[in-house]
Amino acid sequence: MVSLHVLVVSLALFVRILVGYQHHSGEDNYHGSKRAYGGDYEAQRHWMELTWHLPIGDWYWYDLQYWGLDYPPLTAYVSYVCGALSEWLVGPGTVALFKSRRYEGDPTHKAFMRATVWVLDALIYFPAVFFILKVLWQLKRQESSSTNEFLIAVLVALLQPSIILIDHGHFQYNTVALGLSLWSLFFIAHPSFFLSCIYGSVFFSLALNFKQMTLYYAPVIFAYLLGRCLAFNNGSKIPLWQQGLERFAALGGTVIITFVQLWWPFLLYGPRDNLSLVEDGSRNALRTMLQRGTHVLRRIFPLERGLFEGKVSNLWCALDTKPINIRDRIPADVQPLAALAATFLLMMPSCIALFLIGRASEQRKEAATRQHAADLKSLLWGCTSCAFAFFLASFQVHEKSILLALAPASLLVWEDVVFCDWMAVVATWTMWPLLVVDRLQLPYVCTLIIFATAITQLRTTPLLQTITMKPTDGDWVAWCWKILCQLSLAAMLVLHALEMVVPVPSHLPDLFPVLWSIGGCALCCLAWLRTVGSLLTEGRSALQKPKND
Amino acid sequence: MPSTSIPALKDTPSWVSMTALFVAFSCCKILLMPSYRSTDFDVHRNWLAITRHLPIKEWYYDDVNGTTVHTLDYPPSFAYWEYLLSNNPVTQYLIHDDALLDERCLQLLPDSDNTPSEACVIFHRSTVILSDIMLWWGAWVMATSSSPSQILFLGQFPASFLLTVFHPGLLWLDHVHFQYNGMLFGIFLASLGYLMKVNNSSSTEREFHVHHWKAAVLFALLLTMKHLFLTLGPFYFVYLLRRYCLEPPPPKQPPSQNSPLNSAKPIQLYPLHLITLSMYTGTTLLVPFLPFLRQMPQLLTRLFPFGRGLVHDYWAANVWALYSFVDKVLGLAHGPSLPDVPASVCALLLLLSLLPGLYFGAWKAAEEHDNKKLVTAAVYSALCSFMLGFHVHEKAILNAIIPLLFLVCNKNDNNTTSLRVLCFQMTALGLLGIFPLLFRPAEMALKLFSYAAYMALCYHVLIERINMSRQRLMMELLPLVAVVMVLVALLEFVPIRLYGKLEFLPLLCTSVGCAVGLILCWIRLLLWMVGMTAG
Repeated sequence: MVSLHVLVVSLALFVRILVGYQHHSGEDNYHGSKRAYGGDYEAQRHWMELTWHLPIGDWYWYDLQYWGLDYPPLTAYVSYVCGALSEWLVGPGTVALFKSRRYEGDPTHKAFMRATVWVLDALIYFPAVFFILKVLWQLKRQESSSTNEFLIAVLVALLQPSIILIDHGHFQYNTVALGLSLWSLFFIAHPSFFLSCIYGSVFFSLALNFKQMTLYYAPVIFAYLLGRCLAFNNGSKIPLWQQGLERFAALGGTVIITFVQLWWPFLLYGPRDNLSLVEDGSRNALRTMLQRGTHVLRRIFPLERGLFEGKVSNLWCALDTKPINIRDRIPADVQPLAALAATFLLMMPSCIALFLIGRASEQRKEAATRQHAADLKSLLWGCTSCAFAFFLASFQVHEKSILLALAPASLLVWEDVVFCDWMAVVATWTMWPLLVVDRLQLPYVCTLIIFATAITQLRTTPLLQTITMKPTDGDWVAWCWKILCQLSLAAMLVLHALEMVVPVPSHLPDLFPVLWSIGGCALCCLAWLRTVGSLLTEGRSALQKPKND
Repeated sequence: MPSTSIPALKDTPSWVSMTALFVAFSCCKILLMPSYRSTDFDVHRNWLAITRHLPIKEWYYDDVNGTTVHTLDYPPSFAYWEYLLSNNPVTQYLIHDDALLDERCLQLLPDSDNTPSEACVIFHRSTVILSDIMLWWGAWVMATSSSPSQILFLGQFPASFLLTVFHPGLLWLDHVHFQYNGMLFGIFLASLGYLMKVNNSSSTEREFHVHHWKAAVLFALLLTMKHLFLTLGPFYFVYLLRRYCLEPPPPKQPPSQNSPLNSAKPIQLYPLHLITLSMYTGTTLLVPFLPFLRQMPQLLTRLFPFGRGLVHDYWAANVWALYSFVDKVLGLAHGPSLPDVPASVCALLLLLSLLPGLYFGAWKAAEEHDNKKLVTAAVYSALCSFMLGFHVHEKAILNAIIPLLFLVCNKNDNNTTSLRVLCFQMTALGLLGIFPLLFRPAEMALKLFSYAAYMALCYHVLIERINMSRQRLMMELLPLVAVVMVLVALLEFVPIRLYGKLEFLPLLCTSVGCAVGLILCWIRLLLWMVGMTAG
């Protein structure tokens, strides 16, 4: 069976490499930013250049106007390694300090840049998907079903069009952050607490330090781990408070140690004296560790940018259209608070459910693998739900943030295959306006077709046919859900058709981005409701467990 | 259990599935449009320009006043294909007012100034992608020409069909490097497929005639499109002569199981068969050449440029690669240099090497109505021309390894067990031999992962459930894996600057390494073919 494993991995990489031949964000400065050349591709290349050549203290200070480093430390370290490789493999010209700006048009260098993404993808995201699905497969497999189903599920999860388009087309390293997060979920759900807490929290700290966006998962993971700290454990003689304290201390210690290891250079070293700083007079404010740390944090979380960024498929953008104009009705200084409150409200179901599940998790007398799978499944639902809460209601949301909801959802294929496939299409569809700016329309169509072919042609096995519900079951909710999915797919297609046919009226230049934003928001709300639905069932069953004992 | 053990869910794949697969794979090819393209792109672009703008009389003379080397050097039917591409309503529509395709794309341009526009590349690439329909058709005809109980399925498709249409060799050559091999292979495979269909016990008298005519016409058409297939001519001649012209049509009632097949039946010429077949073949061969009858010498110098030398720039992994290698080594050791091999010697050696294939393969296959021998003979003939041909291109190995797939992808056949391994080895080495064709580092990952995916699929289909002792299998495969790993490392992973003055080393190692392996496979195929007849 090794051959089919190789086939799946190679095919997933093959599609990534095909997409890698397309335009990257800001190629030829097409729709480039006004302040600097290009887009995310040039930014990442620039970070390789600056981390490779400058002393570590300068990294978060060097020429902040031209793609200044604004990702957390782990990204910076990865850039450093990639910069070294770029100089050695492709040539010093690709990362020469200052002189390499706008370095573009060299196919070898582009292939190198693409390779840094797919290598990290294959090393981190692929195995995470593989092992998580393997655990879930234990829960779901039937005697008659073959390993092929498992491998097909892996292949489909690795062919998610939106992830491929953003990472390997647009150019980002999301799969590293997502992969590290998935790895942390894999460990956190493990029934043995100390294994789960140490490895899981190390991985989650790494994810946070690679991309701050993974904070979207933090509430759920925190709630679940808190639940695990206070888990009912009838067999044990240790009082609950003592167990809780011990576990909490272990968790906190792991997180703090991981963070300190990644952050200490930036706390100890500031910029060199001869480095010209954009913010004059800020040098005096760099005397203490705290001040240096605050600066890095301000780079990573630029709170001053405001609530709205572009036209995203979230509540704020959808509610900001003509009749409602929410931006004008809420005072500017209340807006962040409103966002905070709304996010808090939307993420509550997932946090409460996962807390309860965490508390109940060690009480079940089941085989360890089944326990692992059950909790992992709940965590995936919870992370999807919580990421949607942030995507819909928090501030400074980017189109690409929907990947955070998609990645865990894409692994729930044996829970709800309809939701899983539908999510893949929705996530890709909401990115359309962004992909147009990147000139990735053709890859958008192609990857969607490849994905659709994979899910329709490969899955012919009875197991998934039974999960795909039919209206005859009398299961009202499920049936309505399926109809809604089909209707929404039709609506997405209609919007595409309209965009092609209808000319944009001059007084409504943003017509289609706004329509996309409203439609996407509605679909995301629907998806959020779906996750809440299944979290309710899972949470309820977690509550019932103790009474049965 | 692997999916090969699951019987076909439906007896034949639905057209929906087939279309879905075609569209999805076409999407992959579309995504390859921005990748590397060789000068063959300029060649075909120039041929489109020639057929669009020049009268037919000038096609084989024009060289844009000496400013291009991309002159027409394929036989006439291929030129007609280019004519069709450059003069049809769709192209006219695209080029109308420069709206979708620039007029310059199809103009006669000097080599110094022929950079195509993006639309031009998309137009050309699209014609290749669409012409692959022919490949799918041909592969389908051949894959379904065996009796249904013999076909090995992968999901709902015959394994040989999938392994052909997803062949990475064709993907690299056609959709990256730029050529139209898929279409030509479609015609070739369909022709072989029609030959095979007649050997099914269920074939009727009508099918006996029509299928043989179809096969002959398709092959003749193929010859007038690409003369590389000429070396398969003797095989077709011998087979059709014995199978069609010296044999009666099948009886109305199929012979009962017990009666031995043509036992002691005297060979008898059926003149009517011979005449009809010759007429069909002759017409197909002749008609495309009619407009050029007065310029045959010019046409022939274009088709057979013998001035080019025994080996290509990059040595194809054949006998002459080893010969040149020995020559080089002798030269370094100040020994005597080996004599030059003229084209005539090449041709003679090639003809000699074809002979066993003609008797043990083609003749015996026709005599015994044996499809296995038929395909073996075709593979063997193609392999001979790769091994001994003059100025052979590395891609010619596909002529052997693609038909070979149809020989080994069958069920419950212990006779072909050793051939499965052979097919796996030849595919691995043959594809590796094509690696240098896409030389840019930017295509490295593409080559590696399509190679890995395809070899994994081959392993799954051919080797995984093979009836062979583990030890024997290890002996067959471990050296192969070692050679492939070393060559891939030399060729792809070591940066070229580290070789310094020895920058030819990775190419040399690849062609010599693959040549040794493929020559061993060639000999084993010959022995197997002879052994099958003897045993």
